Amino acid sequence: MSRFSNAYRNKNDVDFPTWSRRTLVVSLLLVAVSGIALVTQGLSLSIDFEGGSAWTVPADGFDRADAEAVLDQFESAEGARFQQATTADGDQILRISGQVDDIALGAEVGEALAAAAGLEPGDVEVTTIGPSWGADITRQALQSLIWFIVLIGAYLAWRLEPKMALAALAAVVHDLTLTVGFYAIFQIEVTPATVIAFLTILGYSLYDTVVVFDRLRDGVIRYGKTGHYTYSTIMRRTLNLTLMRCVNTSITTILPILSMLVVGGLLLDQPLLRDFSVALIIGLLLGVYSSLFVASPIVAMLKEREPRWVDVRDRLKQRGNDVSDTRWVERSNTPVPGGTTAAMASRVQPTDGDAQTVGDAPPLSTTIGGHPPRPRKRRAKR
Amino acid sequence: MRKNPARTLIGTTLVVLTLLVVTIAMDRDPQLGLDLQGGISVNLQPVDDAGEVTTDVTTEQLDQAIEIIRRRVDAVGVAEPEVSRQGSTVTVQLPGAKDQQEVLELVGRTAQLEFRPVLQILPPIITGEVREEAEARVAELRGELGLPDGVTAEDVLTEEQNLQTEALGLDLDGGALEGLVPGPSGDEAELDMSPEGTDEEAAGIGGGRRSAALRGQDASDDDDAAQLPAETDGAFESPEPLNQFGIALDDERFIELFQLEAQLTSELTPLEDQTEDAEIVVPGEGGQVYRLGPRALTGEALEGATASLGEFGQWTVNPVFRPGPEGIDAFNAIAQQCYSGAPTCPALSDTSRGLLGIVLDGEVISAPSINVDSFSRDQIQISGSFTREDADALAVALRYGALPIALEAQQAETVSATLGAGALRAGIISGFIGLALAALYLFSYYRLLALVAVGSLAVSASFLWVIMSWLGATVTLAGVVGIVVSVGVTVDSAVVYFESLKERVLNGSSVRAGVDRAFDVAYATIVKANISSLIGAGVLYWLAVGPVRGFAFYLGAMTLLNLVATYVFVYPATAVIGRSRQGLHPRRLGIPLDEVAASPGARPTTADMGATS
Repeated sequence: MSRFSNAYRNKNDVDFPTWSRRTLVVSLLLVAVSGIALVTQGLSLSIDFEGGSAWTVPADGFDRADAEAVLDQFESAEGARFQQATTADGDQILRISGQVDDIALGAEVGEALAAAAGLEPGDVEVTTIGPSWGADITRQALQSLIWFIVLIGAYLAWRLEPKMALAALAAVVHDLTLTVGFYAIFQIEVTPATVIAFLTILGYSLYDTVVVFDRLRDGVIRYGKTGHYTYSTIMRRTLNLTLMRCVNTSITTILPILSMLVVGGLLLDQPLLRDFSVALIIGLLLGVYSSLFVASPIVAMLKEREPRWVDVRDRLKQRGNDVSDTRWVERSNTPVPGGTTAAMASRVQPTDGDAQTVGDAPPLSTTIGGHPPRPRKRRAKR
Repeated sequence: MRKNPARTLIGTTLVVLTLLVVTIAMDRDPQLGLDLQGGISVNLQPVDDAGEVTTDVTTEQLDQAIEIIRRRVDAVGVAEPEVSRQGSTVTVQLPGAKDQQEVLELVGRTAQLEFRPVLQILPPIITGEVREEAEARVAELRGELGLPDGVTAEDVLTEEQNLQTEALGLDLDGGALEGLVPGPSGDEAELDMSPEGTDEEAAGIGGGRRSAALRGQDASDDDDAAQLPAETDGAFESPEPLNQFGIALDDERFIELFQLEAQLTSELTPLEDQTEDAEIVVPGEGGQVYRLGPRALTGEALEGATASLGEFGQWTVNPVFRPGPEGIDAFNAIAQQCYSGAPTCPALSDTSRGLLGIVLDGEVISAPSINVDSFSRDQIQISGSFTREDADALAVALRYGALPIALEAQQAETVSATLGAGALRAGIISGFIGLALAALYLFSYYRLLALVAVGSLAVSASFLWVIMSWLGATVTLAGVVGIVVSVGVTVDSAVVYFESLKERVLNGSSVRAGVDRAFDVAYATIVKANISSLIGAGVLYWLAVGPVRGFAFYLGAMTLLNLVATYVFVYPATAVIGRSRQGLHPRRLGIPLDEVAASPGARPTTADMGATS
């Protein structure tokens, strides 16, 4: 059976604990690279953060030289950048950005540009940002970030558990660092839209992690008490069970955004849509990745150190089980014969034999240990 | 809900359809934001004397500044302007505006509070159809009276007065003028001294005179012309008209003509011409127009002002002036003139006291008569027919005037309507294409259940449309992006549920039993995840300005609606499908369980009980 059809049948068994050991290293490396890039290269910030002016002149035949002539009149041609574009309707647009951070002067230049291009004043888009405004935007973004982390951390610590909150936030920081690092390395311009997207990435990344962790917590409650499974084993099982949900959700989320990038951003030439969607796509992919390969292993690492799980491991070892084999085996009644030497062999996808074991495993919803399912109120038994 | 999902489903569908139909039938739709319909937006922040941005301003000052900007913008006549404040940032959005320089000039000027003596109260300025009617009536009256072109009623009045004075030695000046212009109807307020210890007396005077002022106001509100002949009768004992046109000044037609001409010719002084020494004509509350003398003092002479409830239950405002020549002394100098009715501050009413106009940003906000000739700086009260709100507003304006804040544009943006429309279209087109792709994927994976996911999107979107329409919320491009992005979140709730169901069925539960159980587990997860999203959106909405806010609003709204839609639509719809004959064919729900489809009878529903208990 193909991997996809295995997954379609919930028979996938990716060896998450083994994989995540490698991915964590890769992630750490990437975070380091991003950090270095951020420090050495810095971000290419748009005028919105540093102050400056941008003019959009929608006129055929109005080109760079014409615009420069106008800017020269105001002695503001220095550092100006020009970009010629064509809209979906085939109209020519000239985008100019300059270092004019005086609002009144920006408006004046805009009017002069309109006059030079033979347009009404309102037809030329003028955006001027004063020097302190940009600093403000940056401060706001940082402030939002801090509040976000504090509030979400508190919420997750309350609804899930503190260690999960910590891991979830670590994953969020990971995603953000990599995204920002990506912008620093490739010197892609950061606009306010990008910042919105960065902040949205936080939300996504977290949303994903919460779904995964909620499931993990469920699994731990159901199987933890049996004492038959290490934390990593339970984690591997639950991650596999949520894998298709993550894949499906990501695909349905990315498709609209991809369409926004290709259709809106590139074909119809809307810079805002383009800025948004690029950052979102990077962030989304990172978000899914980090829920499975960053947040989860961190939780596993933290939890395996807890006395309770150390005990479980010790006991399993005494019984002769190989605790590094995290494959899911039904262990509720009979002790499983130990020494599964093939532990490391099942890294990638299970063989059909594996699949069978997995397929026979009881659903998470049924009770195995002494822990009954939570009673449901108002549930009519039919 | 659990017992009868079909009913819930029908209920939800009906509610959504009804809301949609009502909204569309009432022709409500969301407003397009500035970036989509074109216009100008300016972000302003308070600056100190050195021109540096400061946050050292009170909310009250900012709100007053916003109020002033709003009035200016309204006066220019922009459709649906939006002036809002967040933190100490003031955002002005003028859809349809084109000239950025003009707008910057309009909103960036610091408003000043001035005290100017009232020279004359003119009838309201008329515009539009009423003006045309008035012009026609003027032509008619001039014809009847036989006035040649170029000679105004005022010319006739002046000539007549001069001639009468010459012939009879009569001084008609004061009387005639007073009779012909409407009474001081703006005289809602008066300025009294409230000396310490004699509050009672001061209040008594204020109270008594207030009723007189009120009478004046009542009489002159609507039909000035009708009132005038009676008032003027006393002033002219019908002397023979001496002017060359032979018009009697008490001729009703002449009075009407005089009124109308005055109304048609009075013009407001533009703000930039309202210099310190100029006589200015500015509007006041209730439509009156005031002609005011040169500036006597500015708001900077004030230290503060409070509103308080007087002894007789009337609201008064108590301004406090600064000590010294720039403060109370300057005020007393003009107060003295007004009290005695000097030509610089003439008496306009029967009280023979002059009025002192309090002008904020070129608008008379109050014009109390001065009833005491000398004030001590913290014992002044303005009384009148104030409601609590009136008094508070006046006190706030005075306090603001004492320390006006300068707002400076920090960011300005013009969006052209055509480019905005292009952006909107791009957003919508790409949104729909993306949606179609996502739906296609869902159908390939979840088959029949994809209908539920897509339906849930439709339900959320409909709710959102209805809410936006009724709130009059504005859709910005960032908002459109927020909506497109939230498609993922909405679909995810359904996916989490479907996966939970699928897992149960693959592990031996029937679809019938699985739908309920799976929902309980899945919904708990969905709530947790959505609340994290909501916290994020809330933080963004709370802290950010401009497009980020719009984005956060729609992301938050969609997340919240998603929670609702999942409960009232996704669950019942899935339950209906699951309990129908389709539920016996898990393959049709994207669940690859072959044997059930092959032999539907093999899994009696009682098996659920065995599996779950």
